[in-house]
Amino acid sequence: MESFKQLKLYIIVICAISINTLTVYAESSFNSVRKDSKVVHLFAAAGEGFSVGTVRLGRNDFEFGLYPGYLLGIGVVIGITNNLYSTLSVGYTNGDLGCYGGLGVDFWRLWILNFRAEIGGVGSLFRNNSSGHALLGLDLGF
Amino acid sequence: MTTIKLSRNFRKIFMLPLLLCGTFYADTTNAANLSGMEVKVGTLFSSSTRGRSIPGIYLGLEGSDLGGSFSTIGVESTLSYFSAYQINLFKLFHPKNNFIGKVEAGLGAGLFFYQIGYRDNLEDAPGQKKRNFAFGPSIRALWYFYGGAFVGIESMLGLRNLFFNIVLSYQDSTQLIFGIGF
Repeated sequence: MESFKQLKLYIIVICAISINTLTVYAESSFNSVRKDSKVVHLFAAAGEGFSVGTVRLGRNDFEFGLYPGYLLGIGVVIGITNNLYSTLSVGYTNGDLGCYGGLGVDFWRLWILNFRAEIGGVGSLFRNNSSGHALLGLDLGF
Repeated sequence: MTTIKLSRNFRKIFMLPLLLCGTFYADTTNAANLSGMEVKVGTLFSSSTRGRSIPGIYLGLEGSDLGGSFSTIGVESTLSYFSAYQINLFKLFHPKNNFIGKVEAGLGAGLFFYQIGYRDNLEDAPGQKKRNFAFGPSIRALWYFYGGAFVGIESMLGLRNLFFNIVLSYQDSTQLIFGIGF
């Protein structure tokens, strides 16, 4: 039990260091598929328990579709560096007006697709259906 | 026995953010620039009271590269109470967007702590208590829609159980924030 606790502490330390190095990595990297796509890009990712986390269709800096927390909405992608971005969207979630805010990174580009990891949260105005999500998926650009 | 348990918990609570701060400062390429400090105040709806829109208090303090926030939310009745606190530390980014204007994004780590107390009858002394905490990566995405007024999300994904974390399930604490920065 003690060793398991120690293992968890190591994981937390590794995560803390990773967050720091991730930002450095993202500041000096390749162009993402989203930036290079001429027509549209499609982002599909797994969420909690590897269920469908999000399916979004986008053009340039705009995206729409199913966001985490069953939010059906439209949003903007704000590029921070070539492959680090923030996203903000508004929409309809569980019978309420909601918004989604997230931060993600594109990595491992293979021709017209790259892997994408995103952390985000959904908040809703009247019923407070707030929840946080981690997404891991693929962004495909045409 | 309780004292020992408490001191262990508090040691963890204070050590982990310090550890995180250390990793930020250790990397000279990410040296924090705290010039031009900004203070944020606001209210929030938290996922810790999911299903009820109970407002909480939000305070933020930040420089150009590094920022932190503290928030608290609670409810109390004659039979029970619930208090939750969250601290987040971020490396900040200030990207510009032609369509929506000023945005503030952040990536860092957060600590969430809560305590619940309740009793079965009004005559009883408050006996049953439960407290716990979660620590993990956190993000911030704020949109300044009018001057210093902003709306946005701060979300922390607590690393509580290794197996669940691998399948992208976390002890999350998410906040929808309305505030003003000055």
